[in-house]
Amino acid sequence: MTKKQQLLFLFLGFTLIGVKAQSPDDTTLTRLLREVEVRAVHPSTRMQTTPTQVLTSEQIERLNALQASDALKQIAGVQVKDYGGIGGLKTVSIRNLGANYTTVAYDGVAMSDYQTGQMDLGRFSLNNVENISVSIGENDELLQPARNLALGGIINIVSRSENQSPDFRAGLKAGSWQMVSPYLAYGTALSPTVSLHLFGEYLQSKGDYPFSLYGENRRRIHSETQHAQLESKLTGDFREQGRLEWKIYYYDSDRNLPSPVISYNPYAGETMQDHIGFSHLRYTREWQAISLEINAKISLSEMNYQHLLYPDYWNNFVQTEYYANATLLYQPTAQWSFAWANDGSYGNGVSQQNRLQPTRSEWCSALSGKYETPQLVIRASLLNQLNRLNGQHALKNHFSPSISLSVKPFKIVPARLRISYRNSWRMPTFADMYYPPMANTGLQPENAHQYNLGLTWLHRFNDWLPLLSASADAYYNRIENKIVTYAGQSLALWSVQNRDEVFIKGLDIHLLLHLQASRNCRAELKFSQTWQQALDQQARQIRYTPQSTTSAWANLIFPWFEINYNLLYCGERYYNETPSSDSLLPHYTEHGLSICRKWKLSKSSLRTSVECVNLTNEQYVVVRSYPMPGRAYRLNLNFIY
Amino acid sequence: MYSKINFLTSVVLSAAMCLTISSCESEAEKPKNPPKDYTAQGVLILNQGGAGYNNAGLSLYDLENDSVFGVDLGEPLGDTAQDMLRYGNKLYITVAQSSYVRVLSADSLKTVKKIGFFNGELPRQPRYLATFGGYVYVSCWDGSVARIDTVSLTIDERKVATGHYPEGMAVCGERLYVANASFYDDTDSTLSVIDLNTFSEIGRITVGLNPNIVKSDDERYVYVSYQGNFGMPVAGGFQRIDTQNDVVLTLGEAPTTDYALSGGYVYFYNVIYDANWNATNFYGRYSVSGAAAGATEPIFDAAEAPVISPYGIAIAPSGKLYIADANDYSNNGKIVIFDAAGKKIAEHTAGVAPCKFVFR
Repeated sequence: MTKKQQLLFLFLGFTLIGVKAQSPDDTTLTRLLREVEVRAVHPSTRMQTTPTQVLTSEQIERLNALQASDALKQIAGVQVKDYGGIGGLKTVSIRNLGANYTTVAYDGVAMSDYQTGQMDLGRFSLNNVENISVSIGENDELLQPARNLALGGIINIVSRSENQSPDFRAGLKAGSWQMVSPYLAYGTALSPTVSLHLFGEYLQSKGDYPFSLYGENRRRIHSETQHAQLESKLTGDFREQGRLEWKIYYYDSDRNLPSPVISYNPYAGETMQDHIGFSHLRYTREWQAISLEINAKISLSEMNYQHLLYPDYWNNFVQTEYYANATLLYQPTAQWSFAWANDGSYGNGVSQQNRLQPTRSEWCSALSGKYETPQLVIRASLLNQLNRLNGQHALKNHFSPSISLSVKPFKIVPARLRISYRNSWRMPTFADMYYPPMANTGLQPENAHQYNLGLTWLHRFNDWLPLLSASADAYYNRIENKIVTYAGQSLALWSVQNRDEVFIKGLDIHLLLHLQASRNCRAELKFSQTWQQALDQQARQIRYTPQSTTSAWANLIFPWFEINYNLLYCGERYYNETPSSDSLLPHYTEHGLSICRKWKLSKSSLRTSVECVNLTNEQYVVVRSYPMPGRAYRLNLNFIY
Repeated sequence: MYSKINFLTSVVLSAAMCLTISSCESEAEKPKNPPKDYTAQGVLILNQGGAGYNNAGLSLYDLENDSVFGVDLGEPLGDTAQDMLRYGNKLYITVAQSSYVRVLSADSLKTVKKIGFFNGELPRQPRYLATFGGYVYVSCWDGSVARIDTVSLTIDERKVATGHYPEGMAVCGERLYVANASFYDDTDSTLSVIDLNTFSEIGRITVGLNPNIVKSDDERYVYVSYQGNFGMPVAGGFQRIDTQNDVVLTLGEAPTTDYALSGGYVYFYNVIYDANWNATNFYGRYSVSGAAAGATEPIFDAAEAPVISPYGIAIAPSGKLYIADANDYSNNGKIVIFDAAGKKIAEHTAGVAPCKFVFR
């Protein structure tokens, strides 16, 4: 099949596959009855038994963020590894567990990458996002796929769903280094039950920002990037017969990779193209005490890599995944709820250069229970993962328990205590398992334990101080059987082995304050601080772990305009495990500022803003040799009809 | 030798960036703080650094004070130093990724010149060095051997085309022997022979697959280690070429990378893997002076040497054996020194991935 045919297959052939994939649950489908409610998309963060933070679309709008990764930098306990520029890779690690422990879900279903086990958060547009939630551990939602419980944390990106018809939005961002990005969104009701929502975004950027590094003042060259994101969502709300959503997502990017900066040699010649698509069908239905969710998804992605200096050196990697899930939620009383989730997936990755075609099949099954009163929330779950790599290796089987509770000890004090333990298990990726020259097919999964003890405090004082929320969480993580890459006799000869253990300790503090001066004048202030330590078996700090990171924002909202300020501070850290001045990466602070004005037209509105990112032109790196952009300006226009 | 810049390697290495950990015992910091005398008699150690990390460096082992310290070169050395040699009163260092040759005063270690190696914008990536008759020869990954006039310190316009990825070189008689390595295609297994009077290629000799380090006894024989494709399925080995008749004799399965020639012996290290890819290091020597290789004898017991990743080997004029330990290739490595009897006599922390020695 050519690529075009594959995409056509993805777009058109889904219904059939969706139905086929659901066949194990046909018996449940036949028992469908009564009424339906759309479940809340905003998880309540206060009652959560594990730390959960949510960024709403309004907050995201005020964050001076272009990509999802920019917004996530504001979340306490999240480390974004940013290789700089729009086209540079951006991965997210939660509490230093590493990017492989972060589940990235789009509309509630995990996206997977068999090759690296990591997701580039730079590729998610913020123009079509309703909210982004980050749960450290698992969130308290029971009605969700089992796979969402598998790793150390979950970032769930919820796309917009319109509730008025017709709905039309259009926007344009333009800024430094020839960045231009228009988007268009349209939603309409096709019939009283069926509605359609379309979204398209395009971005291009030259990305040739100036930087100072290693005593040289240069410009990034070969950083041109362009991408397009297309989404469609067809929603059928059949009331008591349930709700059906069919989503198609396609992302295409063509970029020159910002390679590491090399002293005295400005040449860069890496290019990469991505074509990523999925088709996702979700069916939800509720009865009096029972809710059902069924998901079926087919994902296809292709990555091309080439180095222009070595014309024969290239790679092409195609991944396919078929995924189906059914979750049943039973709520016998107002306090008790139980869920049983089952997920099956099968996929493969075809690497042209390595001439390999490994496969992975996985079955996840989770039983969860929750007891909830205003004073006490207890949640427990047991997840079973069955994994088979390449059909030939022994079936791997693991049970991951987790238990968490949130208690309000005193009736009059608005404070809650939360405690959680959670075990997670991460399978080696295809890259760990099959691509090393010295392939180690005996590689075992990593096993991680997460403990959290936290205090939350939330109070609504009066009209002037409508919200003060504070939380402090102390945590301890331990990773066993850490998968480590070893160089052999030559760097070309490397292997991957289970050799290490990692011990992570930390404290996250989060403060949120809302002030209301008058009906139209208000302010939202947020402050997050993390202290952490991540040590290996020899008690050396794991590379790129700052002891201290801070993020903050202040949004001042006046009748005529808004001023939004945000700050990121990252303390000193080392790019290897040797704490010497040679490997020190200095601390940095980045400030962002924007002024925004909303114009009301008769039936529509226009939001305009001018942003300045990295106001002080701070020259810094997150990853050694990958300079971050200095001061940049952006103009945003957002039209809503 | 950093020979293959594999994208997947870098993907996985970066994925494992926070995980790569060695099992080396941490060495107690020495309290003494001896003076950093750049003119001290001692051993210059080239630290390759990690690709993309711009942390190549030069260390000096001050023999009198028995200390190793990093040399502040003023401007950073750059990314991926590959080879170093002394010619006259100058020190030449190829910095492959930064694509230039740094020329230093061999006495004061002050920079004399940085000679960029570019074809227009494209980096030529200078790799290994050899000297003859007032020139320093440089193998470059644009598939050529260039030469630097050591008086004017400029690159001669003339260059000689070789295989795509020429590596180690040695002069024997008035000829230069250049290993044509494979980069990712497993196809090259030749040495280019260059006549140094005309500076032109006069022929190629077929040797083992993916030849690597070439050395000469300066009289008749040229030695070459080759890596094969790392045993998948072609193993590496060691060969001797008789330059009088170009007959190639295979001497053994090791060394496959760096080695030292001294007193009719080849001194080498070898890393042997078991089925689970657990590495065992072996350090040996055998006689190469006869019609066939002598029996391999260990030079010291690997259990006595706390070396994780041997990455360079040299015999000092005093007869001492120097081993460079690259550790995990991202944290500081070290040098370990043995006497002729194979007894460890010193161990010092060096920079990241030490690989070459120059005795001064």
